[in-house]
Amino acid sequence: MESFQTLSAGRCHVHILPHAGFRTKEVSIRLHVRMDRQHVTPYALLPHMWMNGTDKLPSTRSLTTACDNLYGASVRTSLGKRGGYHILEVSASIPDVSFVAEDSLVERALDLLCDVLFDHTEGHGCFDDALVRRELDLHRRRIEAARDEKMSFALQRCFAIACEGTPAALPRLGFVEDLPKLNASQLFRAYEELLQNAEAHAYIVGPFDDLQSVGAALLQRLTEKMIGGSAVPVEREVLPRPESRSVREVTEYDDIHQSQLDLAYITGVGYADPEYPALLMMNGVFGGFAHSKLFIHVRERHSLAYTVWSHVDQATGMLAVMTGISPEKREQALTIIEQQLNDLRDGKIADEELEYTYRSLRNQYTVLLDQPAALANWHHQGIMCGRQRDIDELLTDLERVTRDDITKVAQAIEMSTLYFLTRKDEA
Amino acid sequence: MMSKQADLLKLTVTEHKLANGLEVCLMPKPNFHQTFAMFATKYGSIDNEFVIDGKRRRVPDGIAHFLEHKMFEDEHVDVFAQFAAHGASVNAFTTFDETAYYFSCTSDVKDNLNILLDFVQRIYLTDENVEKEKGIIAQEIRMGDDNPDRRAFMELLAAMYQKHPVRIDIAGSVESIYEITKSDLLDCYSTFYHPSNMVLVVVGGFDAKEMLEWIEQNQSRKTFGKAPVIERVYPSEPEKPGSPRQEVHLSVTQPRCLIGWKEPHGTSNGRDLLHQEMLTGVLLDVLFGKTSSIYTELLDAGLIDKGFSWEYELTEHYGYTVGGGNSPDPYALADRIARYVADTRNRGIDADAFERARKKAIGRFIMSLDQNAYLAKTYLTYRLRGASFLDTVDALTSLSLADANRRLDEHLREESRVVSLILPNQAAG
Repeated sequence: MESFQTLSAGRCHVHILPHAGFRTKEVSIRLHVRMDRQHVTPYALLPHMWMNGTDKLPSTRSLTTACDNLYGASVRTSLGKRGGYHILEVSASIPDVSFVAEDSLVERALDLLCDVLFDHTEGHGCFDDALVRRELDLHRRRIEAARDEKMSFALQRCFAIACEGTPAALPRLGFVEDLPKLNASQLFRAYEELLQNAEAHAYIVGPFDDLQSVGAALLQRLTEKMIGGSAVPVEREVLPRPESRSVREVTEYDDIHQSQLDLAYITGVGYADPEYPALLMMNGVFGGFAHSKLFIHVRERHSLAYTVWSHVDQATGMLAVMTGISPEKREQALTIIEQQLNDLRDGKIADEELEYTYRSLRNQYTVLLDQPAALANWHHQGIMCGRQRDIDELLTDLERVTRDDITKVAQAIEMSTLYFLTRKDEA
Repeated sequence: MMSKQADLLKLTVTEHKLANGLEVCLMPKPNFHQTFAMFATKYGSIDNEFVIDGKRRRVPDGIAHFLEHKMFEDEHVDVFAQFAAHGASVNAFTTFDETAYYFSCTSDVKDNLNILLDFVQRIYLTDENVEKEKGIIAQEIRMGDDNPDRRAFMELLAAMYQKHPVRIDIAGSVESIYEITKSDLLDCYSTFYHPSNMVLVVVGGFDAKEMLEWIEQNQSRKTFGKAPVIERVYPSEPEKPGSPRQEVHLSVTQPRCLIGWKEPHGTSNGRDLLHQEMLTGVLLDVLFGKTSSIYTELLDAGLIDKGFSWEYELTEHYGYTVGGGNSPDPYALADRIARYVADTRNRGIDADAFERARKKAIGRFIMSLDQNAYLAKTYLTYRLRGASFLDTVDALTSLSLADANRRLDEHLREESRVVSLILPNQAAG
């Protein structure tokens, strides 16, 4: 795997990777900051606000028109969360249309991207009072609408209950009750604080002619606005395994056709840990794929569910199982899921299961090499989890995982939370 | 064999029709690790009535999708495990007019291609394995019942179409799938899964000549009999929608409002189809995109959120525009859009906005060529509809402002408009 070259100054970093054979140039700037109760809601609003206008282009309409004029270069912002960190991102995908267009697209798109992040002063553009009021209302609806996606809502509830009391439990979008207390000047203060405190990682990947100079110019622009400070290592957020066995059961009600059963297990293993490859293999044998135990037993053998998966949260080391079932099948589903885990704990893992899981994971990670944006995500995940893992190196580690390694991981994990979302009348 | 060098796109496509009628389309991409292959039949949920052995046959709703599930069943091997053994991930989907099976892999391409072709070209059904699938599909339908966006869309089509089966949910209903029998499934399989009704598209890191030979070898090992003449029976559909408005109550916090316009008929000419799709897509972007005056107005008035979006679909037998999203006041939103469209039809659209939207569509198409899965899927769907996706730039370049205004006038008519609303349950709690 070709690796990123990094240019750094203070708490700003630009990672560049030339990549031929693509028609898309990807640029993204990601600011990460520790979440806390006070800042979670204002920070969650900022990426949405930035797209409402800059000082130079003070409305969504003028800003989007400028993007569309660049042959549809897609300039966007997003809000992410990893463990107890907020990740605020501005990014651009720039088409290589050299056969029909002039070649200054990259420069103009980068200007636009930097303006979306930095070209704001108090009371202007996206910090205009009326635009802020509009965004506060949209944000209230955004938070409320998360409840309408039953499957992801249930998983998020289960996760939050399992990490209660840690920053990782804070909701990505913040809290509805904070919104009435916020106004344009408070949000501008939050924006200033973000620029003072966040660490920035920018990525430039794709078929660029002059990557070095593009990267150096971008670093210059970042450090002009994000002065001083130094890079701080991320905090370890892996939840410790509980000393005593106790499962917290939470049932919530909604008028839905299908019930959601979500289980959270504490593994004590995070992305940076030496046991992480064994945890990935264990999850793959358990419920990560269509050849996994959960899929075969819960879905194919007992016809209980259409959806049944398990997945690992890299930051907290939580392993979650999610499934959508008929309400009366709760106990049966639970028994079958636990039985699969017990089989793993007892070392009942066939050679084929190991082989299929390794090959499936290898495919999953090798595909990333074809996608510029995915390579940037991979690198940034290393930053956020405190360890850079090269894709090739991870594949070698996965290949070395033995049945015993998987059994050990499975024996050490404990269920911490059982979350059930169901209809009231059939409970 | 037809090989087309799309120089501008830096992409070569090889299209070849095999002796048994199977269409093979290969797009090698030398620098890519991934290979993505999709094998599809021109058979979807709308094909619920057809002629077999000289007799008309009406099968239960949702059967194409049910058959898709059952194709993964095999007497001797576990299909998922076979792919996993060669490091591939496999999946499938059913639409109104297509059933597609696909894998993505970064090694063992030829083995995986054999597995794909073999599992789709062999059926293994027992009464037991048919029964077993019903519980799984029932949960898939229940999941869709709880999804407000999907419900709003299906209700829109149910209101728009009076007779045509595009008005029926692709998966059918829990009741209709319980009627499905092994012999229904076998009839559908023998009618629609002959190679002459199917297309295979492969995109990614491989050599085209070698790949074609490999596919030919696989196919020459099997016999399929004579290609059946497929007679599909569709009811005659009136030009006007069945009902102007549909409302459903669900457990949602945000009401949904979808607005659609019905095409009076489909288009069987591939060139015309691509041209009309591109033209209508650009028109919708000008009318409702983030750079339109109405987008800002509706956002300022609190009538939409930033998920407001529009799309157009056209096939041989039907076509529609659909758009909208979440709205706290869906009635006001539907009314405002109706007035806006009526005004714009009188005025015509802006020339600069049209030019900008056209350029944007070209740029977005170019970027989409990097996404192997998207490229294979889109190429295949157009291929089944007789059109060539790689002619997109030509089609977009040929559009004129006059075309767009004519399209606006003929398509977005008051009498072909339908509104579908999802409203919160009255006694929500």
